[in-house]
Amino acid sequence: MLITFDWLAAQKQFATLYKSITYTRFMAQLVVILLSFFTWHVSAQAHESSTAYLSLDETASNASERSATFEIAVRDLALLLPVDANQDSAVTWGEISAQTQAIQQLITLQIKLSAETDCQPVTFEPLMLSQRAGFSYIYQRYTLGCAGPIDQIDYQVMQGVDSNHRLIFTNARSKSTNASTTPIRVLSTGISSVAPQTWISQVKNFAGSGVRHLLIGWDHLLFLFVLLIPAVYTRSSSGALQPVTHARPALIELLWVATAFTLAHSITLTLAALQIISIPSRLIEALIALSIALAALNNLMPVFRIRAVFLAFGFGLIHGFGFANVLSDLPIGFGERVLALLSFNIGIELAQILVIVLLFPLALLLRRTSFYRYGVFIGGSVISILIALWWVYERVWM
Amino acid sequence: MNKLSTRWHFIKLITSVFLVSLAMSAAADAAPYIPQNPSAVIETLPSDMPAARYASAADIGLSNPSKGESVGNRTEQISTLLNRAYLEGDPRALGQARAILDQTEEKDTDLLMLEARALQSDHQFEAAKTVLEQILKLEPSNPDALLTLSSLLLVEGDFEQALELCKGLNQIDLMLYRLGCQAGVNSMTGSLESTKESLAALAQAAPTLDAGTARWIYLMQADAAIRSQDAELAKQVFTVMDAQTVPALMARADWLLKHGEYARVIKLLKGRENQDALLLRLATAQLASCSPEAKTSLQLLGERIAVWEQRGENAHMREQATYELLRGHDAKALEVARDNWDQQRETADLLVYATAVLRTNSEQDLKTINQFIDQTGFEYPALTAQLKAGSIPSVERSSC
Repeated sequence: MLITFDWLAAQKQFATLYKSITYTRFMAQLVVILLSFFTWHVSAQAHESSTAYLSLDETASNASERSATFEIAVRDLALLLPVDANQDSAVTWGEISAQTQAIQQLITLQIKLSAETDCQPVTFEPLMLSQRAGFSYIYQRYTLGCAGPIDQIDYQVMQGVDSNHRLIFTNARSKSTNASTTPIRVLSTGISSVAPQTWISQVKNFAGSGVRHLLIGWDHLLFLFVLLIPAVYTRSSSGALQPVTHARPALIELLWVATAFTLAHSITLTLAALQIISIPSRLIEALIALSIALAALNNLMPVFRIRAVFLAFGFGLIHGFGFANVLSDLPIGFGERVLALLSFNIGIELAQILVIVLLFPLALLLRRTSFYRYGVFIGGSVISILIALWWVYERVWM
Repeated sequence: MNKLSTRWHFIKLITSVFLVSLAMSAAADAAPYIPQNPSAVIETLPSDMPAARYASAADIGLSNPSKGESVGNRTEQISTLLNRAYLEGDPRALGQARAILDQTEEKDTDLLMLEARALQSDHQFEAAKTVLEQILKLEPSNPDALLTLSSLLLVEGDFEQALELCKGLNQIDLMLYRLGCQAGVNSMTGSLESTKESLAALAQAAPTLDAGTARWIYLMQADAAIRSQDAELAKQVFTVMDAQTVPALMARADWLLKHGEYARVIKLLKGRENQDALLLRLATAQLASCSPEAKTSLQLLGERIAVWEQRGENAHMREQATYELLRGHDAKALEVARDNWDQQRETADLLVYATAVLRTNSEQDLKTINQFIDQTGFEYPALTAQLKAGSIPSVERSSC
């Protein structure tokens, strides 16, 4: 029995974009049971502390200027400026607007960014209102005159007012310096270094993560194995296996299979890592195991009357959701998430190529031997089916 | 050649899908706006909001004026803020209390006690313990320090030491606190039924006590009622306990949720969405009763959890683990629940850990839980049975 509602994870960052999916009632029931055990008398309750946001972005028109956006909760602003002039506890937009000059003064004097020299606000856009997690925030966009990459911030807003206040700082890519977006940084009040990471180091980090993820993930490796072992055979019209006579077409076919798998998992990995779609990992893990069993079975008796490249694509869609667990929870912004995704995919692809480069020559060399035909191809497929079915059982019923 | 062309078109198609999905994501951010009506109320502040630090733009350039408060004033301010943080679920009040504490160089025992409470509320247990031990060195029989340290050790699962500290409350006028302190420990270590009797006796005296002490007793009773599934006790407690403060509302909502009274939970918590603990329960009730408003509540919850994650806070691991379970991210849920278990060991922490363990089949973690139950004699008959059965069962299924 199912209920339908818009998926929570997608809403976290992309508030207006919803994807309706089905969600089992079991989940709701689980929460009921979990909450019923919660105690209330000792520890602090779940809550959200005072948080402000500063985002920088290089303007298109002038390399020495950056557009900046500062957001602060009205609740926090009320501790700094008299935004409730009539003291009726209800803050109106008119009362906030009357403090525009003071808000701009606050930004000028208490958020000091340094590049080669100190940066200064040049122009302020009209004050706006935004919503974050259900709370009202003042949204002030302004232009900052700044030469060179910003490497330091002296942040004094809320200093001495709320010790748990934090500034979430992002600095978008600077074209002039070839530096990429910094990861989100969470800063306390005071002076902090915010020198940007180069995009090359970020690509290296995530590509390395992709390589590691494929090589230590037994299920992905096993899937690659069951796709790889039939690459040195062709099937006659009667279904009999014939060793390939030339290596080149077999290698090209295998590379197409690997590419289809990569493209497919890139799509679902993107959708999941950008939190557009989220599917319970238990379901995905079970489907991944099932895909291995079916692919291995397809080696022994063709169940899918389609080319291996399409089969790899279809199953790759499932595996992409499995890869996404690594990226979906990273506290990074959209631009970095895309860079992370691309780098991570490159890492996975490199690891796949490594596996193919190591195993394909061996398979090619041994394809005419009984050891390969019966031991590796048939035996390997049977063992893969058994392992994968065990995983299915383990992931669904245990 | 044809095959190559077909493949090329196929790849172009799926690449387009990939790029379109990226573009859709980029366009999905919520936009800020300028309200058209200057009279539109955009935020409601707490009624006891302190005066703003700066009176005007000109003041911002000045160094902070000294307010010249006496220590007595500070103590009162911090105490008020900590109470608001706890009773109204207002985290900003906790941060403000800590800011005043940070600016106070010389602290007497009262201020140290408040510092310990602030640290405890912020889940900085080790730092809180250090401060409490410092107080007990100065005043070995300080009842606040004894009781707070005992409750802290109780949360950490150090029951023996927690009970030992209760014994330090040995003056006759502290007898009620000693019994309450012992009841809290005993209820976790194999004496749930006898604890209920002790708490019943204390509850008789509760109407004559200050509101905080009475609430403390009632909340322990409510916990015992839920664990022993005692409807009669729950009815008694919820008749006398307030229905305004956040801890009391949490307790009421939990009882109602457990008994499937979702409509009552929604009625109780509607309009309290600013308090995350209440929002979590409201969303649960809305979800379980197939209310279309569940979508909005869950969205808010998701956004707030995203902020916790961005801030790297560890004070919400229990809730975060629950959230991961809801998303079906079992491995992540186990990781968070395990970290949370290392930090605190209340019933709710055990349950979320156990659920994650059973969902991921982690034998090592299951062993950890079973050892805890065996060693402490922890009682929750229903939970223990579910652990033995190897699953946390769901309630009756129905469709929306």
